Amino acid sequence: MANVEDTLKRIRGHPSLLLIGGGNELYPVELNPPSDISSFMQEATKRIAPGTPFILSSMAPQNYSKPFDWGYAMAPQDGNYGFNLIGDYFEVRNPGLATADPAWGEVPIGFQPEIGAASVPTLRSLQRFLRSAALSQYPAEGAQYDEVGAAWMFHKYEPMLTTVQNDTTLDPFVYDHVYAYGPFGGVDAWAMAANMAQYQQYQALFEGFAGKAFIWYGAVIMWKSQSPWPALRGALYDSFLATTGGFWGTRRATSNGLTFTDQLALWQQDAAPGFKANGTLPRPPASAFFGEPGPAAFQAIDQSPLEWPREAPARPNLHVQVSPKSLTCAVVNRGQHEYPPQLSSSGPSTFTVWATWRFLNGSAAADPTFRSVGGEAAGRFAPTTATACDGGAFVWPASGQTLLLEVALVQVSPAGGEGVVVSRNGYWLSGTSANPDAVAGRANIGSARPAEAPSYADIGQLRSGPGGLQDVQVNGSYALRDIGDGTYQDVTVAVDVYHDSATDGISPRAALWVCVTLLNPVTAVANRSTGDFGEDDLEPRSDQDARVLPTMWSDNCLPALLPGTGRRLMATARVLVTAQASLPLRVEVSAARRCQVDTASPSVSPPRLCSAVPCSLPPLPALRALLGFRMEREHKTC
Amino acid sequence: MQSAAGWDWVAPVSDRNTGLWDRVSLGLTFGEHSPSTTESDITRPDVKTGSYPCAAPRMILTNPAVFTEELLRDSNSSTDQPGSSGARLRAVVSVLNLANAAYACELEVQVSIRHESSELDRDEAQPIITESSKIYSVPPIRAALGTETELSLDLFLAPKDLTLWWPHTFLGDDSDTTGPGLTRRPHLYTAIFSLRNPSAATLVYHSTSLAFGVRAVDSFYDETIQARAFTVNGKPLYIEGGNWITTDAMLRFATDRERYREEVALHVAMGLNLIRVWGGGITETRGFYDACDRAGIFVYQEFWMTGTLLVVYFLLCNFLMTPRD
Repeated sequence: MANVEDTLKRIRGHPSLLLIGGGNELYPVELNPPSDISSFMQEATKRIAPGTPFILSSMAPQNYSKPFDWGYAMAPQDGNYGFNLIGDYFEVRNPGLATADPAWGEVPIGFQPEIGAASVPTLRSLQRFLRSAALSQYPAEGAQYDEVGAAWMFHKYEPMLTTVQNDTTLDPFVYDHVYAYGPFGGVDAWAMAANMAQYQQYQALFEGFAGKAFIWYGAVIMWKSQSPWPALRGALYDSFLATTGGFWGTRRATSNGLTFTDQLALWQQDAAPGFKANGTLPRPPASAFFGEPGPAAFQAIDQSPLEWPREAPARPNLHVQVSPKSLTCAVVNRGQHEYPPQLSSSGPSTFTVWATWRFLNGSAAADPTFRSVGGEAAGRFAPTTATACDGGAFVWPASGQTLLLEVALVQVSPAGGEGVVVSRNGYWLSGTSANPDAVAGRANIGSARPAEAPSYADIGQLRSGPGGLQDVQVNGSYALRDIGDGTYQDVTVAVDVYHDSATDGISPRAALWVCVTLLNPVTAVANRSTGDFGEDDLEPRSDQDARVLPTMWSDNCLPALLPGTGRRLMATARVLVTAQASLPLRVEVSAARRCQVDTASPSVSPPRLCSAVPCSLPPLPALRALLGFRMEREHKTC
Repeated sequence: MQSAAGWDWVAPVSDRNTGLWDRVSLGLTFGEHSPSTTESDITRPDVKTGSYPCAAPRMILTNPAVFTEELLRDSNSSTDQPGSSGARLRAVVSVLNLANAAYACELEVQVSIRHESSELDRDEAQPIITESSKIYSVPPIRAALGTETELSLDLFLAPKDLTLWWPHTFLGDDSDTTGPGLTRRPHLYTAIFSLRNPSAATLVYHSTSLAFGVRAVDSFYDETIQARAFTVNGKPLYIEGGNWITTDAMLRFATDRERYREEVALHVAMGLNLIRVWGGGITETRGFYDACDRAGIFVYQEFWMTGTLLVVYFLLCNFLMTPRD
């Protein structure tokens, strides 16, 4: 009890403290914990940290015979802890829980303290804690918890599976979210697909819940967002502080999705490119989506990134989203104010959501279409609220295909004229108009596989095809800011990622899953805040982990870049400065194939160009004998 | 830390819960006229003179806090909103008298605006640019030997000096540009607490400071979602959060402010506005809370308890296996 008092005194002065809980999943009520402890905690909080809400338990199962005691616990149930069909997040109350037991679909869980599942780091992080022998035995299709190697089990492998039972007379169908992209030639492809699956899964989670903000839910808390240990579940960035696909999916779900070019247009009070007035309604040309048209805009970065504006003066906190199941759209306002802030004297702004569909080869699957949103009369978005689009769902243009969908929310002022993009978003989806996220899987697992079962395998083929995607180029620059530390400097990096339309004899295809990594080979492994894990690393390798971690990118892991387009990305990081005069930072771009590009940079701090060089996926490190590591020995016992 | 026993997301760590962790310091006291040798975090040089309070009674200020009592409104104003008529604050601090006699003292709290670099999240070296300090005093108190006495002061921030603290998701669309020094970051103030001799004002027994924000949080039962919901400064808050254990299963980074800053920044980059510090981890240390204050992300802090059934399961299945190593 003295400890409780001390702790309260220590943390009470922080404005960030919203809520104090007695503990995790404490129940049964009155028994766990004993009432003398719980009442003391309650009283001490009131006395020492007045005004701070205290709730004893995060979750206590509902007793259906009486109303849920919301003064005792935050929620009557938490979870689920597995992957779900992405459409369920938008259409089903308490997704996952209701899949397992439809009764949960009727129960209000307005504050969801835990939901979330597997999380596989990127390959470079996997190599930090799994030996090559273990890596080569990556999980097979449909592998359950105990159907992987001991090292995977030790690091708490969790399958990314959803069990679907449309017909109770048949065995359920098990959908493998990773092998939807299969087959794979190696662990690198498997890890990439696992990260794409996480992106899609957690984007859907946060979008689906936000779509029901203050209708079904007031809070959703991911289980978990960080991990104190290299685990295969429960993290949106890993313990080395490297981001995962789930991180970028979450960011995409919660942000306005504006590109650097969009932001620049807003800063300059200029219309975003491609939405100039054309009659009464601005109609976007095809080039307005999936990247900025190039290469003219991407020939060079001739300005220090530090001289660029970092944040917009007034950034609409709007988010446009589409349910992958119903194909209806909505706009979420996460700000504290209505948007637009003031009604113009000449009337409300007009808002439209434009959708454009592409095949994987970049060609249009349909003409851009739009839905109005916000209503003619109101023309405003209420804070912490989702506003549904008018006029019904978008139309799935081509059955049985993997399609790229990008949407943009365009604002036209009452006076008409130019349209401004105030939010962007995008998806890759596979299926049919009837069931766009139809259970996809390459192999039949169980006997009740739905008839319509397209997969993302064409994405997998794209990446493993001859020639691959060696035509993703970057150029960039960086600037250093001395923080007076003597050892570390803050670096700001600007990188243009450009997808050249020239290919080696293959028709142009979209570049998918374009991820950028900042490397500092001189200080490999010894990242400042991740500590020196070098001695813990399993295998000394020639390609030591040279990532600068964490690197705060403005955007990353772009789901799709069409041929002839690019994106400008910004990043900041704190880097170790060595005695060498130069800081040989490198930017690595991975798409379908990993591409090593030297951005190079001698001692000159002004911006420099960099050039692309051909690249190929490096082979996995050779198998080495390991001595005395306890992992495998231990885990066979439990 | 209960999760040291192992969980379904972490392997057990033998003996993790034994031994010292976090910052460890040794304090010495020699009666009422000794120089300060206690933990640097607690005993600081006098902010004005830079000297340690020698030849003074051994009085130590700990656990300072400034609570937002009420955001005042002006219902007659067209721009009425919480805080438009200022804010009532209450400063509290514990005083520990280590001397062998009771002493009278005077508490002074100065509030100034805390400026941080917008580029870097390092405010330690940033000078206080604007100082709008006001001196309040309480009557002399007599602190009893060896006991901790809680002192408090009422403060008032006038509307012109008031900028509210908000979570970062509520700053992006901000058209509210009132108040000095508005940045995209949550607004923080600095409070300097000084304990002095009431009859010799220059004799400062001890002083301490903290960064604080002015904000009102409240919770209510929302009939639509049928659950507890929250408001910040009167605005409903839709919470998107992440569950947090701690920085490291071995607690190696528990004193690393940089690590906390980076992990919290990653949460901000994901657009999340709350971190739930899960009950099977630790009550987080100061560096974590400071990072959350500065980044504008809420914390749901749990005490160190988790459900019984889980603990029994993991003890049997996992923890008892670790001695086999």
